[in-house]
Amino acid sequence: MAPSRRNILTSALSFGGGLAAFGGLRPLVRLASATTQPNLADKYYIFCYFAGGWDVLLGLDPRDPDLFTAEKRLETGIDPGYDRFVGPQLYPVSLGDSVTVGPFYGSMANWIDRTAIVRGMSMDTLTHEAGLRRFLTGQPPSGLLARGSSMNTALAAQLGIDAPIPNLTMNCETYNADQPAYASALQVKSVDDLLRVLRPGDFDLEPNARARVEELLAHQEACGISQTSPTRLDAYDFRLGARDLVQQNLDELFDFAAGSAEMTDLRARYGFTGTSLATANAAAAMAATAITSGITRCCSITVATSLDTHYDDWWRFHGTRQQAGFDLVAALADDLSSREYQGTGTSWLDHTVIVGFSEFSRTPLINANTGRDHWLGNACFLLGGGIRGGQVIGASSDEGMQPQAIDLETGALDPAGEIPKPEHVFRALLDDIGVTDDVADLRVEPLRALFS
Amino acid sequence: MIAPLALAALVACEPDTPPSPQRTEPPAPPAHALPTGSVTDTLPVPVGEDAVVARTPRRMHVDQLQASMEQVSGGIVWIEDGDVMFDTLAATLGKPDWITATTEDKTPGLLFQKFLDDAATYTCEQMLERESADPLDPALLVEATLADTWDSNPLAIEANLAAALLRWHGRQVSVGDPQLEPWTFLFASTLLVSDGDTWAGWRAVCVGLFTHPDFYTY
Repeated sequence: MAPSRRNILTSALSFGGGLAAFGGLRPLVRLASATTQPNLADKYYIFCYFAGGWDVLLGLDPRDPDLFTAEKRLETGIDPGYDRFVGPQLYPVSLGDSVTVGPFYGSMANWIDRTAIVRGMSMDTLTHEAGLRRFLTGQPPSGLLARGSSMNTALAAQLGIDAPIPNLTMNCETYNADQPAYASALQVKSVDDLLRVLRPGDFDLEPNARARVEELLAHQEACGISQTSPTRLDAYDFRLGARDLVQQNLDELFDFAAGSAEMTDLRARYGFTGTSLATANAAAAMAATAITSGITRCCSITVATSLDTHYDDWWRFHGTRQQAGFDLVAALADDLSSREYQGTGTSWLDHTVIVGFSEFSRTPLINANTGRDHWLGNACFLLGGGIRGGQVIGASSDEGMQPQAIDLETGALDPAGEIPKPEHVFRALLDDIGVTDDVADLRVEPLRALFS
Repeated sequence: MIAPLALAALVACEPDTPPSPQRTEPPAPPAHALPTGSVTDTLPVPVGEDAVVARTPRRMHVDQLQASMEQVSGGIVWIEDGDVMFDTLAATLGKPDWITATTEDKTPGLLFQKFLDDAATYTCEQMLERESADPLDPALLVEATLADTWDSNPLAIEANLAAALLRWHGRQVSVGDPQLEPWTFLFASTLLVSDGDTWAGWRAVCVGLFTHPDFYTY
């Protein structure tokens, strides 16, 4: 039987009569009742964050440098800047009939048939924190404070508690404002952190003594102030969750530094070493392992960093850093597509949606410091399970790369439509698994053009 | 075999327990039971039916937790492989670095619970090792010794549990108070399953005290 929190809870409930006698049953019932959440689809999610504000002209939303020349930049408000890079003149890359990407799109080009690109989005902010939280939650932050729950949390809440870790993040923000506690992400900074969570501590109690301590805490949780305190109730649920994880012996799956052939292959596939377990590459390997082993339904990772390039670091590093992120996502897609999904003849990629995003994009004109500043517009991509690939939804304008309204059903430009925003994508992800109610208080219609 | 014992021995929830006279008129705290340092500046708040709950409890932030564990344990620092673990895990536990994060998430989440438990098991082991080697300035074995058992000296064990409850949770209870019963049961039942090993019994009590929300919330 595959490990899951439901298994643990079921076995816990089998002796629940004993626990109930001193009030310890209620939290288990509360946890187990989460299984009544609809398990709506065999869908999994990986959110890939490109940190710092990406330059979409180099990747998702390019322009032809022969048309958008430096001489015309005052007229168009756009300077692709491809001539600033060392080496031969760079050009956008055509992928099929309808999709063109920038010169630093990397290996993601191999997955264009499974990828939908959304262009001409509006973020309504030029602040990193606000942009990130806007994308994650689909709601404008209050100042810098996120409002609402992030996409991973809302999706994890809908997909239920079956997975041992319903929601996992590494180096990525996550929020839970209004969803059940079990949907809150386990946030780690490195694979080592995850291993620490999954393994017993070096000084753990002997099992019989441990059981006595847990009995006492269960009894105390059922009594007095705990029953009137959400903080204490949540604390106890989280404690149960932590104990569950330790008992499931899942740590071997994430022992990426091990010398086994399997781990050696994994490190080679994702390009990291046994001593670099806090890197984006290790995070991608963690995401693939966690998803394909059934440990998690939603995983959020940071795949590219240091993209906030206001100075000469833009032409020196931005392109290669962004491409490294795209290459990592491609490696993730390669891996997922090569693994069969639970004996169905389909692949894990068929059931996993990879969402790539950044907090905003960079100015279409190059600044006086040979870099680019923050821009209100944005783009994002979705790859994998159920996504209608090989398409571009929406467009930024050819004058200043302004967001433009689209028809949410078709993705075509439509002045009578709506400017695409993160909440349209968020709502579409929920809609795809049959959640038609606005459970995340997004107050928009889904961008249905994303899905087949 | 233990489960029926647990059912029989565990007491009812505190609200059902008749208030004891000590709650409304707490006796002067025994000086030996108070930890040294600034926390002695405030006397324990009486807990019981007369207490007014003004707000929901809040979880300590990481610095508070680290300081509290060191204070209560008599200066034991959670160290693994030469690293102070509260520093190593600072970012993971949500401590702000004032560069990328300026607020601390104080949710008593899964990660927090796991690392709190790791810290507690380490610290309790170190406390017992220290106090078994040098019993002159104890933090855990204040009223009892490892040689004391339920058969030989039950009063010392209850007195020690009362002192521990004061030191860890700031709850002032006297020997015989019903609030002690879950803790006496924890100690006794652990002895039962560990062939009378008092080290295991006190270690279980210590871990229970650290991981109890009365310790890490306020």
